[in-house]
Order: sequence, then structure tokens, then C-alpha cells
Amino acid sequence: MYEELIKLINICLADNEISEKERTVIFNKAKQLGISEEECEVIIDSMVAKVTNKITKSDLQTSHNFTPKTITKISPPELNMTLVLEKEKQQHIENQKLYEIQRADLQKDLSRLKQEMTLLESENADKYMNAFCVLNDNVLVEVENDLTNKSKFKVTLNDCKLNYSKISKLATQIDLVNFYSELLCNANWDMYSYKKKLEKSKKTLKYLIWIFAIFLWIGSMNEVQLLFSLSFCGLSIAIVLKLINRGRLKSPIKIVSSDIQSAIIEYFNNKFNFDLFFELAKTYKLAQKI
Amino acid sequence: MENLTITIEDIKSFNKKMVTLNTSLDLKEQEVNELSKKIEKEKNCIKKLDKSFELEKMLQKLPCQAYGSVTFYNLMNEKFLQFDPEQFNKITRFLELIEKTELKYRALYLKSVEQYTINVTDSCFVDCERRIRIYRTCILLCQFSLQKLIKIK
Repeated sequence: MYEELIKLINICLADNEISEKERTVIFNKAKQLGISEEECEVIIDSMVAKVTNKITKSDLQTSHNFTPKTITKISPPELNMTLVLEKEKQQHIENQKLYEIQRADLQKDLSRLKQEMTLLESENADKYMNAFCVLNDNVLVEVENDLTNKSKFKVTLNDCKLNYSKISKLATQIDLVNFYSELLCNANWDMYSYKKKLEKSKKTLKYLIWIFAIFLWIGSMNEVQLLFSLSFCGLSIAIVLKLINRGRLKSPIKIVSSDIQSAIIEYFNNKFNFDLFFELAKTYKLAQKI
Repeated sequence: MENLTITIEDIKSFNKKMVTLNTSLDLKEQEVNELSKKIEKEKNCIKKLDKSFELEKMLQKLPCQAYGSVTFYNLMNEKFLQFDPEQFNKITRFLELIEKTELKYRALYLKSVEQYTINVTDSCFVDCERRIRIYRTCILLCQFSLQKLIKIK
């Protein structure tokens, strides 16, 4: 009964779909066979669904055509640099050893030289330290004398003692002229006589004025005595004023600097850079000390 | 005065001796310093070469290229019908990411091969190792998910 109906439906589904006309024919056949309309509807639907499903799967299979990817294998790059690197390393190791040997030799030389220096120093230390002390004392005395002679007042240089623990330091560091320039610039200067003379001149002026006043007060003197006393007082005042002016007009720093320069030149019989010394004097604030 | 002149002369000659000694000492010290610098340079070169050896060993262990994504791509397309289209698209995107990683790894590997004897401090070596680790993890994840999906279906 059903087989006939299914055959008919299959015939109708030859074009994969059922038209209205075909549907009416199928329903009429179902009536003839004694199949209800609902039953026939279910059979039609299931058979149509089967056909549709088949179509979609086959469609998908045909639409997903892909070209498989291929692997292009690349040969690995050469990494066998070990031999070259080993050779290079060996070369560096040899160089390092060579340099280390050279350095050891040099260090030996260095320690030998240091020993030589220490020996020279220890052998001559006392001798040369004494010599430097004598030289130092002599220079200071000479400079003092020279300044005193030129400036007509007494100069003392304090704190000009050598203060070196090692003779080598002293011997290698100094250029004697520059050394003494700096030493003298740093020294404490004392020109006490200059100040004392100034004070003394003022006192003398006072005494002279008093004497003149006493002469005038006596009043019993004759013309010759008056003339004599007036000329005596005038001369004294002139001398005192000259002394005062000398101190005031001339710059002490210029006197001292130039005098030190000449003293040192005379002592060492050497050329001396006065400008350098003057700069040094300024730097070390010699002017303030004076 | 005569004694003093002699003393000054002595001092001057002593000065000269000391200056000569000091000069030669300075020269020797300078030479020693230069040699020390050279030794240091050689040591650095040796260190660099040792590092090159290490890097070569590391590079020998690493693959020169990675192509796991191709295998997965072909497999997935062969079994296309077993996947939901959405799942298929997601895994395809993941495979694209793996493919990019493969390309980057290849570039880094080549750079490392080029650089390992020249510049041992370059960052490419570390990056290369890192990239291959990431790649391996991705491949494992992909493999796992594909196995699951195919089995379920």
C-alpha cells in the first residue's frame, strides 16, 4: 500500500522538489489507497527532507575544495664554527700569556727601581735634608738682609721652615726659585722696625713742638737764638714729615715683592719671573699679611 | 760660601737623579697599565668566544624552522565536515597565529645564526628561545583541541 505511494513520491522528487500539481496527484493516490491526508503529508515531508539533506552535504563537499599546503624544508645553516672559534680562542690565550709574562718582567723592573730609589733616599736622606735646611736658612737670612738693607727697616720671615718627610718628594718636586717664591709668599711677615720708626717719628715731632714752645715761653732770648730755634724746629718737622710720607706714599707690597725678587735672583744667580711672583703674592694674600 | 755652592750643586745633581728615576718609574708604570688593559681585553675576547660556543650548542639543539601549522591545516581541511563552521573558523585563526609565530621564529633563528660569532650580547638569542617555547605550547594546545573535537564528532 505504502510502497506504491513512495514510488510515486520518488518519481515526483526526480527534480528534487514537489510542485502543487504533483502534491494534488499524490494526495489523490493516497485517497485511492486508503491513506489519510495527514499520513501522506508526513511521508512527503520526510522524503523531501532526506533529499534536501543529501543535497546540502554534497554541496558543502564540492564547495570546500582546498589545496593542501606543502612544507618546504630548509636545510639548516652551517653551525660548525667550533674549529675556527677554538683556534681564535687559542690565539687569545697565547696573547694573554705573552702579555702576562711581559707585565711580570716590567713589574720586576718597577720594584727594582723603587728599591733603588728607596736606597738612594735612605743613603742620602740625612745629608740632603741637612743641606736643604742649610740652604733654606741661608736663603731666608739673605732675603731678610737684602730687604732690611733696601727698605731701611727690619724684616723677619716667620714659619719658613722646611716641612718634608721624604727627601725624594722635596728633591723631585721643587724648582728652587719657584719653591722659595711660594715659601716666602706663604710666610708670616713682620716689619716691626718700620712701624716702630713711624711711632718714634711721631713722638719726636711731639717733643720738638714742646721744645719750641718752651723756647717761645722763655721770651728772653735774643734774635740769634730765636732764629736758631726756629730753623731747628723747621728742619725737624721736615724730617719727620718725610719719614711719614715715605711710609704712606710707597706701597709696601711693591717694595717687598720687588726686593724679594732681587734678593732671590742675587742668591741663585738665576732668572726670576717677577710677574709670576707678583701673581703668587696676590694669590697668597701677601698684601693682607703685610 | 764655597761650601754652600757645593751643597747646591749636590742638591741639583741629586734632584736630577731623582727626576730620572721618577721618569723611568712613571714610564714603567704606564707600560704596566697598558699591558694590564691588553690582558683585560684578551680575557674579554676569551669570554666572548666561550659564550659563542654555548650559543652554538644551543642553536644546534633548536630546529632551523617550524612547520607544525601546515600539518594541522591540511588535517583540518581534510576532516572539514567533522567540524562546526564556527569551530573551524576559530581553529583556523589560531593556526594563523601559530603560522606567524613560525615565521618570526625563523627570522630570529637566522639572525641568531648570523650574530652568535659577532655579537654575543644580542637579544635575539633569548627571543629565539622564548619564541620556540611559545610555539611548542601553541602546537600542543592545537593538537589537544583537535583531538577532542574529532573524537566528539
